[in-house]
Amino acid sequence: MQSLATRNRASQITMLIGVSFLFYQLTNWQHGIWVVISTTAVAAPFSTFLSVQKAQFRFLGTLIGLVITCAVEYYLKFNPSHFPVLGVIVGFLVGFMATKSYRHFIIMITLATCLGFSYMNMPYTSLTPVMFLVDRAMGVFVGVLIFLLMQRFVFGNGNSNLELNEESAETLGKLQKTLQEYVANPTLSSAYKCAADIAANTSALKSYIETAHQTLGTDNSAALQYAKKVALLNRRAVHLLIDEPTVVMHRIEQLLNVTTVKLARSSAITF
Amino acid sequence: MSVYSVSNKYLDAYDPFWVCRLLSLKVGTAIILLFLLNGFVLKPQSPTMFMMITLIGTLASEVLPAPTRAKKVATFVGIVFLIASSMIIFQMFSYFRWGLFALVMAFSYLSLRFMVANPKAAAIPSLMIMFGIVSSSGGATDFTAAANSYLYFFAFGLAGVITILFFPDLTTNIFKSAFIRILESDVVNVGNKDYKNSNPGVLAALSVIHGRLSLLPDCYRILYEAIIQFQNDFMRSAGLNTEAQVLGRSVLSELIVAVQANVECPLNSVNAQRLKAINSAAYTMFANLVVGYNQCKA
Repeated sequence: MQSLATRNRASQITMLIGVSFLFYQLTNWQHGIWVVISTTAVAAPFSTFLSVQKAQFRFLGTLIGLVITCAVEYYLKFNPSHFPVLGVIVGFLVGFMATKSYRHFIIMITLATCLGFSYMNMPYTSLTPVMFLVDRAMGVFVGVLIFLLMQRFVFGNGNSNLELNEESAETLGKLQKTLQEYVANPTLSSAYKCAADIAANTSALKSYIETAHQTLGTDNSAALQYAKKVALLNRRAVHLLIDEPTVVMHRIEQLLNVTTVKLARSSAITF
Repeated sequence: MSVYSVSNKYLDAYDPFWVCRLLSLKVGTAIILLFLLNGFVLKPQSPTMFMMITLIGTLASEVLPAPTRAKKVATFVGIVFLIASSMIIFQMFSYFRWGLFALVMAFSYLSLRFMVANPKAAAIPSLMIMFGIVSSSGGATDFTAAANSYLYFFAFGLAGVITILFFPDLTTNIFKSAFIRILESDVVNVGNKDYKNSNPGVLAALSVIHGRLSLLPDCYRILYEAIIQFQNDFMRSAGLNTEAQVLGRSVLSELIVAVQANVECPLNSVNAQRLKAINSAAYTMFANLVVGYNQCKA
């Protein structure tokens, strides 16, 4: 079942797509579809914290990608037969960047999309590709702008704080489950597995905390402070499991009790 | 040193666990097939969309957890089908200006409301909406064009299925790459009294290794246990004198070279024998790790 923050965010994203689609329809701009594509892509991580960061990366990545595309298109103007080889190289690079860095990925995607739309199976005309680049640039920048304006002035921080609270509660729940797993099977291998699991489970919360200043500004909200405490609790668990010469069982049990109490409190607050 | 060897000094810093290289190879293979298909068999007016969706499906089949090839193909077919269907639904409404707006709103809300269980599962519905909207800009509703789209999706999708079915299983490279990262960290930290096993790099490598164990033969599970034992015993042993530390670094470097070259690591090397002579306990810890590794090479 969807949580309250996820449900709210679904409504916000629908509204965002609706506004950008209206913009596209009412302006009668032929390539205005890039506005809608950009707002949808930027909102795709769903989390407000990651979306704001993604908007910045998309803006910067598109700009760099378009500069590279201009250079590649100039090269292809004189060497059109090299297109398939370049296309394959771009394909390899897109695959390489896909899961690593959104900024680098969007550079390659801009290059791939522009080259694909400009050249593939279409007769070459000297001005069309360059005009396409300009249209894409304008579309992406307007799309990102619509997203940032709506996020700041329409949606606000209410749902972001709720989202942070829910992520903290979810991370606490996972910590409790992992510690229970360790208490049931207290072996060396299990200690390392649990430590690695805890580190992996905290990664989403950590990325929210790291990007919180972009979304919440200087607002050091209660939700943010609580999230930092949860991250600290997870670090302590990892430390107890693999940094001490032997795992002290009663300290793990103590930590498990603290986690259970905090989880009960957070459930009472959040839901 | 090839770009796709287990270890590459330029790429390791950016792609420490070989995951990006694996995805790059897979997408590269799919794109070669797609280009051939576009060049010699099919020639739609705008093949970019069909190619992109096939590549997204190929990527997803590798990124989403799927233990067998059949499940990878099922993931691929599911994703391509969902996106293709969204595109065709939007194409059907592209004639109606306000009807299309209503469809965009309704489709977006329903897909985000009922397909997104949590924020981490939002990628597929977002792609469905995005490609649906792109396809709606193609002009007035044309049933023949919509039907042709399905056939093109099927034909280009075949290239993705062929890639998934015949692409070699390179999971061992991810395991070895993560193993090398742990060993490199150990070489730097042998004898360091402040060293903690909660070092983020080591923990991430252990997590990557553990995540791949179900896809690998049983000997890799034994090696995983040996790595943990080694981290726990050798890296925290305070009794290593300066000579043992130097020898420890040397034998670990020899093991790194063996893993990179994909060969067995000899235990009778000069450094290993000297370590055995001056600190038999440390040698035993190292030997257990090497035996675990060599079993996977046998």
